[in-house]
Amino acid sequence: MMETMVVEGWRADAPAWTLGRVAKWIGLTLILLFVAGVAAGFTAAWLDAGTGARVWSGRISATAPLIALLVFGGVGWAALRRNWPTTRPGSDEWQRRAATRARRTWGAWIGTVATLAVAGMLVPFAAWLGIGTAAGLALMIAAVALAVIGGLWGTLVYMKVIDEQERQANLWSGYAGLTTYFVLFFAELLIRKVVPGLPALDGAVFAAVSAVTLGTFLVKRFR
Amino acid sequence: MPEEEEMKNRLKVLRAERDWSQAELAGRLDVSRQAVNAIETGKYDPSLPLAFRIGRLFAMPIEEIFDDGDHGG
Repeated sequence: MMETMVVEGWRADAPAWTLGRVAKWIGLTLILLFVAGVAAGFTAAWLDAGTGARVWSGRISATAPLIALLVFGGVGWAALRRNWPTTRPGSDEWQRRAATRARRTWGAWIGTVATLAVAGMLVPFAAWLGIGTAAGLALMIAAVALAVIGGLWGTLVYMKVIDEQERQANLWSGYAGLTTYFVLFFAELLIRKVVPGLPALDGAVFAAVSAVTLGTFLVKRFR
Repeated sequence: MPEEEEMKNRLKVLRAERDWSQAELAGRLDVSRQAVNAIETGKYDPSLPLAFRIGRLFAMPIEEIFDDGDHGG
């Protein structure tokens, strides 16, 4: 009988501390942090009402996005390093299929992130040139078009290659995100009725919805 | 509505008998390692098509791999 050659990546069983568990705890921490952050934001908005102060002014560090980038970049890099061997096909049919699937998944992730990063880098250039100028406007349109095309392409490939468990995690996270949005949207409306002159809370609502969506996904996917 | 029973399965045992890792079983089933882990730990119940794929892979009927706890008693 022909011996099946199994590529190293397929032999690796889950270690005691899997990336998934790390991702789950990051997800849970994110939810807690953002719920606390949004509560603090609403309180700050309440206290600052009528003073003209910006909600997050002086309350959130400018390094926060950098820390988030490092955390997500680090987790992404660790996941890529760990799963990279599975992109190499072995001798069996299932290994070839699995390797193709793994390559397409990573291709979609890396392609989408790279496209969005390029689109993001074009924005400050456009702003530097000035949106009023033809070159600045063209650059801004190119950035938006890149972001839309990259995001759409990445989403389509991603939805094609994920399995049913990941699809269910997406369903849960979408539901949780939408519910959070409805609750916060109406909470803001109600607060606005009571406290006129409230600073804009759109950023806080967006951050909370993103965090809950991502956190729920990580928990449902990797728990 | 009847209370939903927790689904149990023998996937981990069957996998161990063949000396397969979760990643290897996942590759054979065309799903992710996370999906295999979630099924083994009872946190996710597979769809009927995936359950059939599992049955075919181990050459066993689905009810010999999965147990919904309802023995008709």
